[in-house]
Amino acid sequence: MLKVSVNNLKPGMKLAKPVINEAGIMLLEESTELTAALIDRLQNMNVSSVFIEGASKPQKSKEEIMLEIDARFRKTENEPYMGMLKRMLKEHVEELYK
Amino acid sequence: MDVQALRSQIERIDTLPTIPSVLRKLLLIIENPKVSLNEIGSFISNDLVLTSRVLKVVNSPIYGFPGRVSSISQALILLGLNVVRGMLLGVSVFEAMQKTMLGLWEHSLGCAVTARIIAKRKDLKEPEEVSVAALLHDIGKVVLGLKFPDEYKKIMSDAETKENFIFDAEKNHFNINHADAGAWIAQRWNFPRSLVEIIEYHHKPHLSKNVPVQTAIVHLSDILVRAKGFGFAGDNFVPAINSSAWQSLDLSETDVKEILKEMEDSLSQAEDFLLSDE
Amino acid sequence: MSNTKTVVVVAKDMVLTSIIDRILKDSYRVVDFSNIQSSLDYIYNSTSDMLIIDIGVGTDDLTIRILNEIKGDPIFGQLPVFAIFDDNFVIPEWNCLLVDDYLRRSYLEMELLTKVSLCINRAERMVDVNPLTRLPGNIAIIKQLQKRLDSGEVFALAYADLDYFKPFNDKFGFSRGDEVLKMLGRLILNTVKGRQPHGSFVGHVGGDDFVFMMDLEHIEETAVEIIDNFKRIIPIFYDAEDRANGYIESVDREGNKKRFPLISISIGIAHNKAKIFSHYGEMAEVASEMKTHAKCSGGSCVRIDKRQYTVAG
Repeated sequence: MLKVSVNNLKPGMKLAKPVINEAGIMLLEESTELTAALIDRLQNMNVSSVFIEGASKPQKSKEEIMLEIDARFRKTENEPYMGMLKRMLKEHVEELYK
Repeated sequence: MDVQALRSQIERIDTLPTIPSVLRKLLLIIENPKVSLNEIGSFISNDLVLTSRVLKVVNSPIYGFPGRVSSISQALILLGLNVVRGMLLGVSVFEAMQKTMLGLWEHSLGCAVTARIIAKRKDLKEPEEVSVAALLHDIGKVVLGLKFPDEYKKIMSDAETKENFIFDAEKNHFNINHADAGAWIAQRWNFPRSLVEIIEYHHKPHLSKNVPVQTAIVHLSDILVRAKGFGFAGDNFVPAINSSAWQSLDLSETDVKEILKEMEDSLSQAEDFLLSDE
Repeated sequence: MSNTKTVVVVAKDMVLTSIIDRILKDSYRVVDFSNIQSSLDYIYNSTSDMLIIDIGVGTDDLTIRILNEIKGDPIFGQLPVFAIFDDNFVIPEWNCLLVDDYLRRSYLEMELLTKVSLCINRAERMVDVNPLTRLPGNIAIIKQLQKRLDSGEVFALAYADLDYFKPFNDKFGFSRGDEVLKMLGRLILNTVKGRQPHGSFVGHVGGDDFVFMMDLEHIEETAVEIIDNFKRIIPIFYDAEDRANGYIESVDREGNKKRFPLISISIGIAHNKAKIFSHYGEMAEVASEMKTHAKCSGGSCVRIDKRQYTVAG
């Protein structure tokens, strides 16, 4: 997900997290698709930025990430618990890419 | 240079500079007359140099209770808004760490948020203190890099070509590593003993006598953040986890997976803070 | 540690700085800064004995504000500030510029050295400041209280002290007890000033007795905040074991082993909204009474006088 300033929002963007105001009241639900009207409202309230679903940056491919993990663990993967840690991390990455 | 001489050189350091992006945000905060103590506190808690400055002031003998305060929220209550603003005003905009240090800043903040996640999961009573320790654990690298810039650059490129861990490369060159340097300065600045201990033993957590669990948490945070490739701690390898530390933390696979999940959001916010211009 | 005093000099004009350095360097350690912002880090982190600052037509408001803020703090406000004025600079009202002494540029060579020495000496002779917390002491408190009563303004007076402080001192020693008092002084000061930066007053009567005065509408929530802050911070003065237990084991007055809770704070508040006090003692008595009530509830707590007085009061 990506944090976007309310001034940069475009219709069609979907909320990755609910928007909650200072009093703790939920203004918009997660997964709400933003319309021009909603964006207007957000800009008029005391909200500076919201979380939008979607890639943060030129997303690295899953394969790239897995290779990097292999490289990082290369020196120590045979030490106690490190193989396990590496596996858990890879499983975690798999989940992210589902 | 012999270790004693090295130590006195390091202990003579009065202040550390922070990175340009943090300095920019700092100026915005200072210029805003309406900023609250809480907002300033959150800002300071994200930067390892500002945090170390605040802890240095509040633990100064001038205030009368050195070695007691290890959390920023407590420090702010004891220093007051004027002293804190004054201190921030005193941060020189002409001295800044090089942009290349950004990787270390990311790594440190990443460890801070990770340590907090682990500490909460282990129901520790004072998660903020472990988080601060994690933020500061590599302060020795800032110190060595500041005092011996050319040598440290050489050490870093050595580590790269020989594919060594940075702490080994440091030891080969200086006879001590960043954990030692960090502990020296933390002690000189009257940080609480628990904080000094965690900084000193974050790579050898089994040696921590008084705060083994907290040290283990910082040790694990360092490993997890490096495993995820977040930030740059001086080399691109994941250090081996210390067995007794791992066992003492007693985390299940589910625990670790959940920690990794919680890290995703927190790390992205950390990155946002350090990279955004807002 | 040498006895040489440190003088911090803040001046944009390098010629002035070198003159001052030359005059003072044989008697003092001189540290130079070209503006007040860059001196702050030094001032807040090291012991300096005096600040000399060049003030003239070109001095901006921010510099004056920063200077006044330093002087407003009980610890750093003790730092004597010596102003150097241009010969044709018109000196403003002293309450806008908190300095302790001044000199015109043309008198520098003749007078600077002796005046600096006098200023530092005078600062050392300051009475009526609590030596531990540097907060105003008893005499200053009484004066402030009487002044407010004489002026007829409506305000509130709070009295605070600690419970279970003696067993703490017995177990950990007076040194650590002093640390707690220094912490408490800062805590009360910052909380009160945070809520009401102007028109509030904080004093340290002595021992663990503290006093603060504020507008009536702010005082109760401030007292609650002080209690919350205190509860969060006091554990760091205990050993890890006591923190985990929530009590300490010590000996009572008869020599018997006893368990004592962690130090708590009691605050009593009096105000002159419903009653006219003519003498400071009367109001102090009510505050004291309220504080005693606060103790009866156990733990940290605040009590404010809610009585409606009959007109004859």
